[in-house]
Amino acid sequence: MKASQKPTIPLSTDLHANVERIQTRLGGSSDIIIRPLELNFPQEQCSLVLVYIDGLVENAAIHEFIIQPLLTVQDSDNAAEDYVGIKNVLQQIISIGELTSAANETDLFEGILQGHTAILIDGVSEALIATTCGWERRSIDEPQTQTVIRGPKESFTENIRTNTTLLRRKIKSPDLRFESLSIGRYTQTKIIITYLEGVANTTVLEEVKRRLHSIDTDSILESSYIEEFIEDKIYTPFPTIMNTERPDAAAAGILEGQIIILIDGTPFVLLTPVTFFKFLQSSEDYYQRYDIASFVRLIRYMSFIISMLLPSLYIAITTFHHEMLPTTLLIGLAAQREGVPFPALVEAFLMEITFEVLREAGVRMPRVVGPAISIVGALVLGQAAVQAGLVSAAMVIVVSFTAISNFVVPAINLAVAARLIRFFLMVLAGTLGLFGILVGCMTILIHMASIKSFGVPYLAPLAPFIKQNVKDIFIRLPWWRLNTRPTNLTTNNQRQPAAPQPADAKNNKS
Amino acid sequence: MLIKLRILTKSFPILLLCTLLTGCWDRTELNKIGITSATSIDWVNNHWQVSYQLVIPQSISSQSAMGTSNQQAPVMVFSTVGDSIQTAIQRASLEMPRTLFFAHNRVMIIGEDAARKGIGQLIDNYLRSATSRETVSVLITRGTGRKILEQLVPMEKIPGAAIQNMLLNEDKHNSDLKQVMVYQLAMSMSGDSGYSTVPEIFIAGRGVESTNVEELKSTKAETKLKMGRLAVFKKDQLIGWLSLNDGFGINWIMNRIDQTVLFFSCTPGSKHVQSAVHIIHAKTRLKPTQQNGQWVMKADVQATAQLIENGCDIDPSKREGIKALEKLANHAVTTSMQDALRSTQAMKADVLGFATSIHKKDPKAWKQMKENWDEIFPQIPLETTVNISIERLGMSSKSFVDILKGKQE
Repeated sequence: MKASQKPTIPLSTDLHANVERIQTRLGGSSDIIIRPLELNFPQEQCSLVLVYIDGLVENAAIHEFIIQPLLTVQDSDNAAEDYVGIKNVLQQIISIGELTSAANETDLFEGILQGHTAILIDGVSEALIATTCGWERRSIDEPQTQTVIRGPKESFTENIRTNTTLLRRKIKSPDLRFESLSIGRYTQTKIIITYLEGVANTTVLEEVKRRLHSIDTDSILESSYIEEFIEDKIYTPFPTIMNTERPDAAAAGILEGQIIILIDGTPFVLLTPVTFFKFLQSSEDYYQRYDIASFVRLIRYMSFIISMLLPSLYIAITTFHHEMLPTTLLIGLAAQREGVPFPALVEAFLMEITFEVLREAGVRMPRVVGPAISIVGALVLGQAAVQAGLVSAAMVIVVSFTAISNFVVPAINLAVAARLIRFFLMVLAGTLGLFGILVGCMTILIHMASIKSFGVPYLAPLAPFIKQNVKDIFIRLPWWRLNTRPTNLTTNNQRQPAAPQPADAKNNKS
Repeated sequence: MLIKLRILTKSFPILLLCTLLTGCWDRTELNKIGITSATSIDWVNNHWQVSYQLVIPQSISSQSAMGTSNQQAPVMVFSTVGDSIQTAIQRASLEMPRTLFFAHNRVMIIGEDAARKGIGQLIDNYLRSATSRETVSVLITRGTGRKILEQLVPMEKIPGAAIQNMLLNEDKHNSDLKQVMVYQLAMSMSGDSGYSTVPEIFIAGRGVESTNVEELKSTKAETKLKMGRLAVFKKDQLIGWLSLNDGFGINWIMNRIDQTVLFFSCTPGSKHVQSAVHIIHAKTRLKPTQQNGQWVMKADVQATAQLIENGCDIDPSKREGIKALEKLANHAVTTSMQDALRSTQAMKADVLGFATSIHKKDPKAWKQMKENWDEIFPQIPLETTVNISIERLGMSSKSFVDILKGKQE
């Protein structure tokens, strides 16, 4: 059911009826605590019932800030003229910061199931919801997947409030906006859309909100569920939404005009809109100096291309284009292939599939067994296969180098795209040689140029060519040159006042 | 959207199957090609005999399970005979389990008989074929070319590569014989004068020829490959030979000197050579001019040199010494060029590029001279101005022989 369609059954004024309703609806689970209270005011006597779920709430808060003031208030004096209603009185007594009221069942259950305490009042058809959530949560740790050498070592956690705090600590501007909604029929997962007012593109923001509101599903357990629902409907192996575990990467995205989607229950947040080149940038590029950052970035581009093309190039050249190899290399390769029973294409497929199997097994291996199996993998499959004459040594080198360069890509979802495309290109290389590879590459390029991520072309700023944005693509110019934001994401372009150059040595002489 | 998806899913397997339909028609595995490193052409019993030197990869590469006990020769040579060259190549499939692969062919050796008959057909073969490169070096040999292919060279594994490396080395450092590639040969054969030169290679030494790997196990080789004279072709037939000195002079005239060692004697005209300079740069400008209705070629040589051997009495640390040495060097070059001119004019072979330069300078005059060029060429004199500047003296200045003489006195 979409958020706007939930049925609104109002609460009744009868306390017992409400408590009955709660018991039946929640099935009398053993972790639901129902605490009746009797308040005696001079004006009236009222019964209250506190309903909360043990484990989700912070017990100390309930005891000290709800139950204790309620029990002690009866002794104090209340002027008769000021008495407006029991609900009003309670709002003055309960010393919890966030106190809202629920008029229908949906809001009541939402409150209880999120760890708040519901206060049902006899004779009033509204219930008060006091925020008391507190449960076991993971502390802020180092990021597991996207590590840097120099830079902050905090990562997002599963708790959405911690995540918003981390973002607030990075961006202390009043323009930072959070908008929340709940998605998922059974999980009621809290989703928060974060953006910088004035910098983020309003059309994109509207589109993101529209897509999120139109999700109707059972559960949202991870950000990838949302990703698959809201991404642009083109069948492509390339990802159009980026995810990150690092608050500094998310904050950098916000400052460039991106829109961040935080999801409760997972430390991975989504960033939209993205271009292809964003996946090959890492936060570390901005924390190291610009010369080493540019060099490493160029290596990343080279590795991405290698991980897609190297096996296919090897197959094509050794099968169809022997003229392109220098003579000594040709003779070496020919000598290696003597006695190998399979043609180059079959050999390549065998080794690639073997490596993918090794990789999957490595993910699931228990840590204690890990080293032994990696020895098996390396020695047995690599060395022994070559010595037994099943594969040639050059093929093992090609496959391992491809696999290693696949890991250089900072974003895993883009690395996966390279892995999938690799097989397609290998088949083309084995049947049509270099011509086939070029045809395949043209197809991929045309396909990439036609992808849009929330209205932003995937290959911007190279296609369409925006000269201003090229400063951060292949090399990173120093910070005092990066004084404009990428234009495809925002129209608010001026990042900082016109560049103050670094201190000139001439001016420092005195 | 659904329709698009349906079309995609239906057409994708068909497209995938189409790629398999190609049958990979040009696919040849690396171990199914016979890599040819050198070829030779002979004319035997009124047939073309084509010989191939094929590389055996297992015995060359250091990898693979074979130890050094099973020493196989790195190449194998075989010949085929046919009425035309392509027929001969075709016959190779009768005795060879692998397809011949000419893309890595380095040298083409032409036997003397084939050269005297005429190699025009061979050049046509090369230009027309898609798989053979026109940058292959051409060499000529006395006797049959097959003997050259069978010879093993001590330092290199593949003799074909060794021969080309030898040629390149000589071309660059010695500049006596210049490398001639098939396309250059074709261009000069069809050029204005129709004469071209091809370097010669032969087997020097008496004794058992090194066709056996066992022969290579000793420190000295009884026979070895050597570069020799310069062959002169008129159109596509061999007509005569020139010596190495003539070749040297020809290269000076034709601006083909790369680096070389120029030796000279201490008195001009003496045969007793004692000093040498290393020529680093050399440039010759050949200009045809008309004097009194007669064509005269002017050659202007500028070169920079470095003194590497000094056996003369001259002290190069003084200005006059250097000038004297330069004068001797200039004289040596002039003599070389005039000798070359005389030898080529005796053969009536214009391999010096005179025809081309006159044609470029004055096409109308060339049109009239074209028919009688064979008679006109031997009459053309060459005026030379040589200017060699010795820039460096090496590590010492005075001649050591000089110092000894000084001590004795």
